[in-house]
Amino acid sequence: MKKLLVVMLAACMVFALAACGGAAEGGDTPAPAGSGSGSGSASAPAAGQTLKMASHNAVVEGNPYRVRYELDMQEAAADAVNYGYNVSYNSFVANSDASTEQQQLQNSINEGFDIIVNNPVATTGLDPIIESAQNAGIVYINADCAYMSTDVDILNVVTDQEYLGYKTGQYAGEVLGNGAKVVMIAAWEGNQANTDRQRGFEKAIAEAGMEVVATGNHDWDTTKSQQIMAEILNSGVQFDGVLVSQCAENALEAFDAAGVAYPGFIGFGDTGAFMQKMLEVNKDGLVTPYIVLSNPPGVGATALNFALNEIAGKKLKDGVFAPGYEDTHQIWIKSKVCYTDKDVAAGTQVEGMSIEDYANSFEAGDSITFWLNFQEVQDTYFN
Amino acid sequence: MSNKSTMEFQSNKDFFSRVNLFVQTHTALMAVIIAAILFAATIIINPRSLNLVAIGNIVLLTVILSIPAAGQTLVLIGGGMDFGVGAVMSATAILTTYTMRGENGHFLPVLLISIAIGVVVGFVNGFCSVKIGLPAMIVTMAIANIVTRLQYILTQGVLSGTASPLLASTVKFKIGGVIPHVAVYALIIWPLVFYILNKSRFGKQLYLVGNNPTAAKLTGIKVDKVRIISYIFSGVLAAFAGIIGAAYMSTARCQIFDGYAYDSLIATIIGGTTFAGGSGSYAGSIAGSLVMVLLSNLLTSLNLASPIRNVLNAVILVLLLMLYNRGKAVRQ
Repeated sequence: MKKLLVVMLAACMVFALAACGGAAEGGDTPAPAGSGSGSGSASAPAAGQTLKMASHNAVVEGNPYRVRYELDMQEAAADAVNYGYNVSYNSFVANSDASTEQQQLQNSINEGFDIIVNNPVATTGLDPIIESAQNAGIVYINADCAYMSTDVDILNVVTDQEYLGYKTGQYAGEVLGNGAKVVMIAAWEGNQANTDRQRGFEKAIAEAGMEVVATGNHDWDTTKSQQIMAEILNSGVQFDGVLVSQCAENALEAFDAAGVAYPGFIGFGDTGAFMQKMLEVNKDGLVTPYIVLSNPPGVGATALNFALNEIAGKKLKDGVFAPGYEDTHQIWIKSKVCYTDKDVAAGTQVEGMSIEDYANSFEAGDSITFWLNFQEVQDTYFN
Repeated sequence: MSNKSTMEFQSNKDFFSRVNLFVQTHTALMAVIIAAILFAATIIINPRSLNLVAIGNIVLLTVILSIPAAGQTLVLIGGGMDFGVGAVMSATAILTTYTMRGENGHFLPVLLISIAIGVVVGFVNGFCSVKIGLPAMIVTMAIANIVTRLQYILTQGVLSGTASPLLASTVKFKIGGVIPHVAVYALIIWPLVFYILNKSRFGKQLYLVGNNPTAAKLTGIKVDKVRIISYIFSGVLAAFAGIIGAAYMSTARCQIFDGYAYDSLIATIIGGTTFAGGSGSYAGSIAGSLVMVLLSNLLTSLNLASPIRNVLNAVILVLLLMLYNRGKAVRQ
């Protein structure tokens, strides 16, 4: 009996570990309920070129943004059928471990994938692997977090993070005025997206003459965002507004928990929870000015369509790289959705609907997303 | 060496021996002293830190951490270990927000299902580690992994729903503008755990089982049963903490409270409960929770860069852990 139990438990653990590493072994990430697309439809027979695509990601679990990133990749893979490509989607997750990432990339090369889209663990360190992939004829695209090595010739398809920080800081300055005291809660120290975004924040803070009186990092962790904000409130520091690099809804929850008045400004946020919360907070008149900006998880899906255009033999237009980042071939995808409390008051429409309807169309934790399809990428970036 | 210096040396040695003895025998009190030092340091560095908002927040966060720490205390005293409390907390927090979806009136089903989850996970942890004899650390991590996988399977990794306004108010609403309502939960759970550990027959058996399972067995105590029950208690307390956590956060995503597995374990050890089993107190674990909250609060007050803050946090915790957890298991 005891032996049987041991065997059963061992099987159970193997199952758990397999489930944990399943994605790393090339398993399909589950499609969202009701999304109507996924790897199944992507791998459906279609008249056209059949391509194997590997989506490598530093982390997915515990990160709603990366979960949406992978779901969008699946949708884009399915959508490629409309442009004559039968793309199969495979997901590999390194769990923030650089050696695992290298091993998984090498496996993808050995298994003969046609496209690799990598959201990397670190900004450097993959040069030999990338060269190996390119020598094997694989189209290698880096997405979301920029890969900063200048020794390899790859495309970096990333969101314009600097714009997100700058736009937020700029609007905060407009609302709060010169000399305002602000709290700055950044994301993940050392992450390239955070570095770029902070550059934008700092530029706008300097331009608006604001003073940062307290800082923290939430590492894109909702629990930490609330904790850091609570601890800044505990410190008794006086401030006018809160600049936060996403996870804004959680920072605001700290005000609720502490029972103190909301700040004179908060932003930016990009989730259903934040958009809905801010409408609720300001429904009887403006209490807290805010800004909503999209940092689309769909950037990976857009990167896939860059790869497909390269396979189609298209050549990039001149001047598509971000100024100052030509050496790392960075293409910065602009934020598509941007609105403030003023737009809500003015009845501005977003994506063809009222801001109220738009905000309420999201689940609480879902981020605003969009991706450029094959044709849109071709029209915008290729000759 | 002269007689005078020999006497001074002996006197110093006696003093340090007495301090060491005090530290080792008054662990809960030591945790309170450390908490007081941390709070005093915060106020000295930043006098504005002494305010009602801070006190309310510290109480709130301490109470939330003290609930899974209660489970850790029971399991550690019984000679086990539970790395699964964070996964259970995350699971029941997700259950809470998904079921409530911002509407009042779903508390009872959420509570009952959460308790059921806690009982099942606790029982499986206990059964595997006690009856089958697998290492508790490995088993509880593996089971936590399964609980986490289930979170992703059921939610597709997408965050949905919010805690009901009524539940949120039972945690965040401030009595007299200072003490958060969550203190009411503490008034129920803290005495209950004190009773279980110090007054009930189960509590006395648990100490004996943790201290010397062979002796406990010889006195007729069903050692395995006592240990499995301690895991079940841990599961149930973690499940309840998940509901409270969801009310605090309003929303919940997969693995949201996984960090509480380590935080609650460290809080428990800082409070004087040892890995060796058979010793420790819940008062110490509450004080340990307070230390954890105040340490994080102090480091934020210092306004340090994130990497330096993380290094300092780790160094201080290692120093604190060096003070405790050095009790030796009784020879069987």
